[in-house]
Amino acid sequence: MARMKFICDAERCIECNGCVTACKAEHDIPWGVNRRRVVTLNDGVPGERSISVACMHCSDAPCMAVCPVDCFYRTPEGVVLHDKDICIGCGYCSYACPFGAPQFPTNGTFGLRGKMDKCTFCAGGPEENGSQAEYEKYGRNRLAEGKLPACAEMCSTKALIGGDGDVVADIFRTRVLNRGKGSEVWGWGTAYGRPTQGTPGAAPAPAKKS
Amino acid sequence: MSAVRVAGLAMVATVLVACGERVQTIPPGGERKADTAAWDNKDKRFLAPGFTPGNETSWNAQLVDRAQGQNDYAPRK
Repeated sequence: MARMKFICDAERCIECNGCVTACKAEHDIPWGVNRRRVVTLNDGVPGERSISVACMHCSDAPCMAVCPVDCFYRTPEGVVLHDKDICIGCGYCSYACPFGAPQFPTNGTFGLRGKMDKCTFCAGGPEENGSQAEYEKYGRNRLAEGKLPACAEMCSTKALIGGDGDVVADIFRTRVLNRGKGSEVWGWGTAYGRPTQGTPGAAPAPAKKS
Repeated sequence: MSAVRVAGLAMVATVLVACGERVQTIPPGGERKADTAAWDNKDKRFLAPGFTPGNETSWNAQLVDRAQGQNDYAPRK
């Protein structure tokens, strides 16, 4: 198993917010907290694009780097999680995160800012898998049930894909190659290999004769 | 009920809100708790069909299988 990753296909996302709703329902997320949200560029303009954003479970996570109490950890599957018993709710991670993933519920005393809450890739936290304590602090642990994140599994247009990074990249590469556009963008080769790689039924390039 | 009594009760209620706060004392040692492996799950209520808890191979296979459910170009079973 490689690292768990999300990818959102902006060509397919229709801004239905189904992923946001699935996340909130699955984990009983309180009012005012959105572990996942849909961002739309050029809203209302023909050609607008939407993308579903949450914690991207970075390989070199800035939130982990700046946390003064070192409450973050990475699971062997590459999921970035945190311990709410250690978190002091300072908000440094919120400033460091380029995706705006860390959320702060107002469930502290007198309605003050509480401890940080973020997408867990439906992997719970440092409590016994499937326990009530885990559910109350971090939400449902679908990964321990042999399932993938709820947001990705219920996406009606399959815009949001989640799972093993290699599998996810392979699905996206196949999709773009079949679509016939998208593989010309900058950085595609670095992320997914040359456009000719992985083409279904493509014959290997003949070796050059010297 | 006099205004003073109402104000007093409101003040007491406001102050007592803090009593509802959960204990946040870090246990002795103070270090972060260790997480359990993703495939170890004693709660068997919501398991995906085909997944055997505690079996890493079964868990890996299950996740790869489910990931292909997101692939429009994968052959349907």
